[in-house]
Amino acid sequence: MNILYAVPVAKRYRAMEHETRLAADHGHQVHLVADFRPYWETHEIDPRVTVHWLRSRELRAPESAPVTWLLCRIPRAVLRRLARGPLNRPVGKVLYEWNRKIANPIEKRRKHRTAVLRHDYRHAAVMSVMEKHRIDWLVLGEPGAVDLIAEDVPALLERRPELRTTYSYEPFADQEVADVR
Amino acid sequence: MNIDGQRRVAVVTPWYPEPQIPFRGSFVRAMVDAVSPGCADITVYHLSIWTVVRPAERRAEIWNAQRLLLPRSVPPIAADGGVTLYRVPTMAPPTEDWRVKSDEFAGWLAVALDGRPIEAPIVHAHVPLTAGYAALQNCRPDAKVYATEHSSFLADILAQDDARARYDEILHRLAGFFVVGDPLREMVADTFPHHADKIQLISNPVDFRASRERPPEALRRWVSVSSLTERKRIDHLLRGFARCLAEDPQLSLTLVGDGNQRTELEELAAELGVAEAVAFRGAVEPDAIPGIMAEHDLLVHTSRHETFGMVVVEGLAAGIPVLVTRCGGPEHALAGIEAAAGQFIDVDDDPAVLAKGYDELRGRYPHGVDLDRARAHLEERYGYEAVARQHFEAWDRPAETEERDR
Repeated sequence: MNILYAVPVAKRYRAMEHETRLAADHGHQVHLVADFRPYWETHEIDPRVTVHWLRSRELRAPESAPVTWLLCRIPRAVLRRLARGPLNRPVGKVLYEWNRKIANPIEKRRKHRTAVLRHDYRHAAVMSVMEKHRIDWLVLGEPGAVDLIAEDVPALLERRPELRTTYSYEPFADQEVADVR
Repeated sequence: MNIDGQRRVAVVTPWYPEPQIPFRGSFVRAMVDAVSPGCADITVYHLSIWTVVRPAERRAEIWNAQRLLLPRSVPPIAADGGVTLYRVPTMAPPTEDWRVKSDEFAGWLAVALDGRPIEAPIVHAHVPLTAGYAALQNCRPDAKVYATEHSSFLADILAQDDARARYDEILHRLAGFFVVGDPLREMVADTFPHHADKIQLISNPVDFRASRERPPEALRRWVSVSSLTERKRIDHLLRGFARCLAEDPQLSLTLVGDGNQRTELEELAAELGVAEAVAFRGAVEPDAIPGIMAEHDLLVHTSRHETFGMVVVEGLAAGIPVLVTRCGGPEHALAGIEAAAGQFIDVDDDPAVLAKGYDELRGRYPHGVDLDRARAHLEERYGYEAVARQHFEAWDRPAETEERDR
């Protein structure tokens, strides 16, 4: 079968290594979609597994330079410099209020836009592998994987009722999804 | 009354060994291995918690997707000994509210079962508030549900009003309630005095089949089998070891286990100048532990608190003495054989305490310990056959006997 092992957050290193290797041992074509983390600079996934590394943490939502400099960086730098000696408390208060009302909301909005950007990027990567490699077994190896495809699940299951879905790859008792009782 | 070997049992547990963490819940698997020869079939429901750190609105969408996925995505796994294993991801919000977690456990098991009950007439759960509640909510009306409390975090649970009320309800509904050590028994009995006579002690089973051929000659090769977390106080073990190493450069220490303190501990070993004598083995398969212990001379366990302290019994089962803190469970497990088994030390941050305990043990070793006696004593209580017998006695008891005894 063509298996997609989806772990977009990818912190479960041992499971990723072990389960994808086991699936390859069992003769499946295995695709792994995972965020690249420093751990993988010194560890390897089984060479039989096709790895699609995501680099989502390199993505940042753009922010206009004037906004960043004029409303966040420069005011903070100036206020921090002034907040010394007898001016420490009053300027500290101004800095606190500036951060609360101006800078933090800007950064919060940018953080949110970055999260959406990364989510869309990961989602597109998973869907692309699904379509391109005719995946017939989807392993959702972490909560982040369910999060990623949450909106697609109803339509996906309706369109492809034969698609096998599991949360891990282990030596299952049979190849068919059995009654959980 | 069940005919021996004909019992049909379901085990519901939040912990069970898995590829990511092969040692987590190894004591539950040991319990399953111990009782399986006396059962016609055993089905294990491993309710592994999946914490979802997302805003509430997004969580609702994820929950909806999971409700569609879960009933079709949990195939049986062929485990050893004819056991059937289901891994059921149990999504929960990031909360310290134990009643909420309890609800999620019960709810997700119901989804996985697609609304039908667990088929087995005997259900044994581990951790009453989570897996125990899930078992009670999803069992057959005529099923008997038992639960064993192991949690090192029980005090946190019982400190919450809602969780305490839920726990009380669970204790009412259970056919039998077990704890793995005296500290837990006291805690539950103090909180629920009206259930005090329902609390029974039961042991985690330990494999006594493998042991060293000969006892260690000198206690130089230390081993610790423990997660590398704050509660286990491995930093104090390293400091105490550094003191002892200064006296005897032939000492070595193997740390088996992994955890969030690993990097910190590796740095500490370097800082103390003992890095060359300390080996970090990382997490290993539970089956490998007896062999690793048998390759060493002394098990050192420095935990702050243990409900049972299974590893201490495992060390003696493997044929090595133990140097262990007075952290709760081990005092109960080694009651009556303290000197024969090794040496107790206080939970004290001063590394001199560990070093002094080691010196005392070494000073009276081998004549001042009796590993064979300690081992035989423990096997009678914690061996697979003994623990299986304890479970069968509870499960096979007619309901009227249970009522009368209460």
